[in-house]
Amino acid sequence: MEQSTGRKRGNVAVLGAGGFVGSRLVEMFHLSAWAEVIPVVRRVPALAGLSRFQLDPQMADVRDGDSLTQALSGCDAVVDCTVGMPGAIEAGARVLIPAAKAAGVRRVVYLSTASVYGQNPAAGSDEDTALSDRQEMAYNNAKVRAERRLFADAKKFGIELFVLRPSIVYGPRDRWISTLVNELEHGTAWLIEGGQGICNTIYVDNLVEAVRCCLLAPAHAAGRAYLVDDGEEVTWNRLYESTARGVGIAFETVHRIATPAAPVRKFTDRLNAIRVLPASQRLISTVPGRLKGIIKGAILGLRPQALPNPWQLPEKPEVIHPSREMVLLQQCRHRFPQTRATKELGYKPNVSFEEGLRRTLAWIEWARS
Amino acid sequence: MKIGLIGCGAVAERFYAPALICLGESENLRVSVLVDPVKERLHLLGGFFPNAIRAGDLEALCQGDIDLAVVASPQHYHAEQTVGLLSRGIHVLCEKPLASTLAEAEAMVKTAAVSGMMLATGLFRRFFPVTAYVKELIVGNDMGQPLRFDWSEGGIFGWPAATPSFFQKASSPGGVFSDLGAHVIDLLLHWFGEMAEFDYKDDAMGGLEANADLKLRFESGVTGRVRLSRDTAIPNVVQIEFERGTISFQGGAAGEVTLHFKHSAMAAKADLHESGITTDDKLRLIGHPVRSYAQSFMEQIRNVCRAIRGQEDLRVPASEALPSMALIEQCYAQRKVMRMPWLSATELAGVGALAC
Repeated sequence: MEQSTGRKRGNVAVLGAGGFVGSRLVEMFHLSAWAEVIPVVRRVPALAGLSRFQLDPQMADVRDGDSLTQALSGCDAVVDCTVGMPGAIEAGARVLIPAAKAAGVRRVVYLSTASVYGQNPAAGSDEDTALSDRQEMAYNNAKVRAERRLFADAKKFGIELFVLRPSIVYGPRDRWISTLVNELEHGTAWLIEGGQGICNTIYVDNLVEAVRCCLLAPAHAAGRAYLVDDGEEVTWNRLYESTARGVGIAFETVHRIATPAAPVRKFTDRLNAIRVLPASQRLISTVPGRLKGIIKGAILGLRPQALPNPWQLPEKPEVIHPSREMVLLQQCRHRFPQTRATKELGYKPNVSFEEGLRRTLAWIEWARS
Repeated sequence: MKIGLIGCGAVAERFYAPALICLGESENLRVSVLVDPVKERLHLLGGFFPNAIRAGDLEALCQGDIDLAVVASPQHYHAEQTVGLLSRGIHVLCEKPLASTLAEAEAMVKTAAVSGMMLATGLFRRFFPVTAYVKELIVGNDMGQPLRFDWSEGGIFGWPAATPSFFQKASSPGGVFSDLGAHVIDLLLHWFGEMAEFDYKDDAMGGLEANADLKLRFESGVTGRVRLSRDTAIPNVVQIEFERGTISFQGGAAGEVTLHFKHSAMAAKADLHESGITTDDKLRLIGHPVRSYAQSFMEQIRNVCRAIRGQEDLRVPASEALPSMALIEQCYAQRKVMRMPWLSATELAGVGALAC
């Protein structure tokens, strides 16, 4: 991890290398010959996309210290891009730093989230803002607890830890733009409050650049969290309008809806709230796959389902179901500051929002053509 | 008939085990031997066939242990294992892709001919009713001549491969085009005949492709495109346009089709059935539903067993796989890098060197 440029750094292990961010990170580092990348995945099928490159992937469950230590052996740095249920996020955080230490790793970059402040953060929120693990979303709480554990362990084990807090990460293979394009095409896209909320976007390549900055940063910059974005203010209105224009759909088709005053949690939301509890996850992990399917089917069968009314015209409007997460996100009026990342990491986004969106839409067109 | 299951990975567990159990009584089959170097896999498959002998390699097999070997091991073992089994007087049904190279496959076919044993290949989509239906439409000219096709199939890889060998260049000659493409190219050649020219691109950059894009023209004049993926959710649809209409179906669907006749504003979505009987007053009654996906897989095994007993012809001998293997090898030999519009200029510069 020398400061010099134009030569390879040490071995960088990428946890969650088969996912959206992880796979792009591997692709970028490898194609630009910036580092020797060691992809780490939990299951064999996750190697499908990574196998395009001649790499040396490792298999490990990030919740299992022994297997993770083995996978990280010989690596100088680790980038944790794993995603998962709240229980898995916390379990992984308990293992990461001790395993890195045992493997001789010096530096860890952990991809956290700006959701640690909530989907609709208070004005003025920055890296020094105190975090709560009593939020509405279980995911947010898990990330807060994971960060706390990692910072404590890093201090204890002498590991250089960098925590990145991106918000809306978009790009090829993402869920945000793909879902939005799907909604635009089905006439179910919606905005609240005139779309004036701020979505704090970061194109995936910019996030990878932030990771690169962490790997290059001086040791004294470690032990801290960093907020990162595209370097420009992007409202939800702009995101939706640019995307609609990019796929040739009239922006006027986007529904303008009133902000739900007291969002009613759907049956699946309530079910998910129970499912993500650590105790539930422990129980679920003991249930055979086939039995899981039967239980899932039985639960879904219990959902109250009204009989379809035959007396309606076929052109009935699509029903819009604003998710709680999106309602909160679209209410956000705070743009996170980038001051710390700029000053201490030297982070500067390379790709503008417009260019990032253009590349993302080009990927969607590529996947469909 | 005594069956040996050679290789106890995912395809053995998910496909061959339930199929052989189902066919056991009606076809008088018995799985007598399981072979795999991994004890856990032997133990797992042993749960399906508790009376089967478990062996770590083929050397442990004795004369007369099995009549038919189902070779379901990783692809790079197919040739050696199959040739060895045939030479010992054992019939073989070998999973697709038949071998790692065309030369290996040709050697396997030759060994079968010399030994007098049967060698079938696991191109079980040939047994899909929709495969026969398309062939009937072409031969019968009911919708006119075929003009062009578009075959798009794939998605996020979900196959529970037991080992990473599937994704390693040292053990697999290709990626999605070699794997899924074995079915696709075989069917296209089966329907449209000799290929005239092609243009092949994929996204391998030192490893195995996850996406492949092939444009084809056949001697018959039919043109088309094949787009396969194992890391991206692409549309899963096969469309074949004829002079008087279009038939479309999902890549892995056995008997569900959509028919769109040229002058109609509507399309018909249908489940294929046997055509049934014609009554005295010339009304044709619809028959039973055609074979499902799983039943098509079992039909392949049943055909091999009945062919060995001399009850019917072997429908897909291994020699049938040679033309598609030859085309796949030609495509790899003349491959170009596919367009990847999200890559930066720096990355594109690196792609060229890695893709060679």
